[in-house]
Amino acid sequence: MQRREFLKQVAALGVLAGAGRILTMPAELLAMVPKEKPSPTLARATGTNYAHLVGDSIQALGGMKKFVNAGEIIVVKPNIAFDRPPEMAATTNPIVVRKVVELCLEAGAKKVKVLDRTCHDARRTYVNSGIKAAVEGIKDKRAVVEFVDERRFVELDIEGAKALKRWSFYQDILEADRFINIAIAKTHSEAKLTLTMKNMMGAIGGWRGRIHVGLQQNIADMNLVLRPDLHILDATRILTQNGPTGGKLEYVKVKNQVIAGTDPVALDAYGTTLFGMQPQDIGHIVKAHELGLGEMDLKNIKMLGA
Amino acid sequence: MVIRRASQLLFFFLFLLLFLKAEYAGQEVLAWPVDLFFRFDPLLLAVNLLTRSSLVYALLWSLVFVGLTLILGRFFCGWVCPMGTTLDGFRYVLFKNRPDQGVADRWRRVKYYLLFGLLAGAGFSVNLAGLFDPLCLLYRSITIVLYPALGYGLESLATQAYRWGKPLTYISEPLYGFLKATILPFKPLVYLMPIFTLGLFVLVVALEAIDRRFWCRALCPLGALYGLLARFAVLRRLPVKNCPDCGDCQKLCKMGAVGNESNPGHQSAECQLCLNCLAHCPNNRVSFVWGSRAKRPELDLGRRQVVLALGAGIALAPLVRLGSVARRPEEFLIRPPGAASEADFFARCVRCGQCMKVCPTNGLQPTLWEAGLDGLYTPRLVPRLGYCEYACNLCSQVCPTGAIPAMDLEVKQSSPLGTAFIDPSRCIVYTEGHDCLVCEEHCPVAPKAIIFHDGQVRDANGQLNTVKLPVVVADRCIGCGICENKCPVGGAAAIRVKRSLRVEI
Repeated sequence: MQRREFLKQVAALGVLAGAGRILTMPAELLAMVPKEKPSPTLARATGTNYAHLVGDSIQALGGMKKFVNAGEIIVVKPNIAFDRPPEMAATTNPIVVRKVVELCLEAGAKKVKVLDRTCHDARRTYVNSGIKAAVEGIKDKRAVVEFVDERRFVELDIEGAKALKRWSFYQDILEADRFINIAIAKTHSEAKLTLTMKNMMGAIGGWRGRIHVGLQQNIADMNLVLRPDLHILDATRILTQNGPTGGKLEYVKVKNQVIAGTDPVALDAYGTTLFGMQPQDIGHIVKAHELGLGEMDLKNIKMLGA
Repeated sequence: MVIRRASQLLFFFLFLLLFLKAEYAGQEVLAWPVDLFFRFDPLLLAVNLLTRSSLVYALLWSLVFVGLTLILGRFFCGWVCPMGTTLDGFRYVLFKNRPDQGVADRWRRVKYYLLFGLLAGAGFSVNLAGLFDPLCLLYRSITIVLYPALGYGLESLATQAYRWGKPLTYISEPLYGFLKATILPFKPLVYLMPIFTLGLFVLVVALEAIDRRFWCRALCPLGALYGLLARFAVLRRLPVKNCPDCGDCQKLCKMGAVGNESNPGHQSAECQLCLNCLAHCPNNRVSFVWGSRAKRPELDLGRRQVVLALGAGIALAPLVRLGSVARRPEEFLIRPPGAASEADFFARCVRCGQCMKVCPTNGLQPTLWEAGLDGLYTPRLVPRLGYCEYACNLCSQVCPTGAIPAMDLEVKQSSPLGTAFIDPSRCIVYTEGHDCLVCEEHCPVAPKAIIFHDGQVRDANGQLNTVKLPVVVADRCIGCGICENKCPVGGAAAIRVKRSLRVEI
């Protein structure tokens, strides 16, 4: 009798726990999709004080308070993919990252998480890109540099996707109140350029090599789920050759620009001009535009600032 | 007793601490002297000298322990050796303390024969000492199986708790975070041949069931080396001859050093100075004194057997080299940076497993028979499991014998481990007519060693597509294997690193 009692209790507990799990499970969040269509208004700042460029470009869009409310949890996603020093322009400029985090904190963010799913060993890239030290240098407990936790990827159906119908995405990003993308402008043989939309590769899980067949459409498709509230294109230094890894200073071109915006297609369309290209040269810009993700015609893009 | 136990535990945990510290922690140069135990290992110094490799100065530290052994005796085994402590621990937990069966005493000489055989072989550049050296054996076992298993176990527990969600995660997640920051590996580790390695380790532990410290008394070549030195130790245990009336210490001694009917008298070569007999002698007759001239019992190894052991060690040299791999190394046997020549590498490598532990990508893996019989447990790069990180030279920092030579990063970055080649019958671009270029994207050298040419390939619908066909520029390729690691083709990659053409002269 005792054993039967025990088994009953175990079963009951199991059912309870299962029910509890369903109840506490976060609803799959497609709430990232902004209510309004992002406007093809970009803000550019030019100069050599890179922290000021970030401040000025975001100010031109209305200031960080427009994007971040007090008490919110923010995920900031720079490019920390490669084990290269910052001057090689393979990763986002740490000064830019630091300033974005500082602005979020000033706007009253409860927590700012900086993370990326890297290509090289994440311990090395976080350190050698200078981003870990830059963010930790703020000395604010609300700002943390985190490694991606492989358990926290969730699979989602991608509504409206043409090729990438289902993939896994990072839960912290889906659940965050705000999501800020800081991409560096680089060449990339297959995608041709990696700008803001390609930078979302670091927010997805799975075997990413697998989605390099049909990469252009896949990049556009993943941006249907990942909708950062603010995109920043770091063009303080751009990588013009041997991308996306670089490796020599002669491949780097100093552009002294930071561009901010809410429309990734418009931002990337402008980004092509930094390399002397046209938006229609880049497959994923065209495909993202076709999906209604934003404006790719340079004539319709309004540029604020210097 | 308390002091000895404390010393054992201290060194054991130091061993584990140094194990954990053999890991990238934000600095290019490791902050801790992680190979400390190996520097103090005179067996490794002996083979280093015998193989006539250039002297590794760090190994001269072992002369400190040689000197101490000449003064104190075989204290290392009882006070320092983490393998001995491990065995004591397992015996305490798993086996009942019981009187000696006498098996270890009968096997006592085997360790000397093993030592002579290994040293003789080393004279002919067959360096197998590391397979039996207790420090190498323990480190290797922890690296390949025990630590990954611990990590896997705790990770899966944490993952289970995480899947259950709240409220369990209120406890489990902070705990997991703490473990992750302290003892857990950065990412799940996988090494080849874990079960074989575990088997060898279990065997050594299981020998405790026969007799206490069976490994140390019967097999350990480092113990044998210290034993030979301890015969000249200044500190002596008296009385040398057993008292006729009591015999308690004979039962007490876990090394069988007090002597028995066939080996009467206290054996300095076996005594590990645990001092149990001193503490427990009911009549207070036991003492440890300096410079006693009392006659030592003979260490009778048998001339014939010694010659046989030396001969076997020498004979090993041609025998292990008879395999075909000695003529032409296996094509996909990629060695760690700087270890291009198999002969030099074999003469130096002691299979301690530190390079495999420290490798941040988990790409350095133990070799089973791919390098021939004497290549067992030598490290090889398996790019599919982990590539050689371009800006990292940690393996050369931990190697205690210079088998992976210390190299500046620039030198390492320009020393090829092999050369990548593309298999067009498997490569997505060549077979499917779609762009891929993942290999090119990751290639870390500048300019890239993988380039592409536009070419036309038919896709599945028969349509002729213009695609980017990847090509390896052999002169630029350093064989780091990141292309092979990241290649999205399942199973064996469509781009692989092979060693011929550029590694061998």
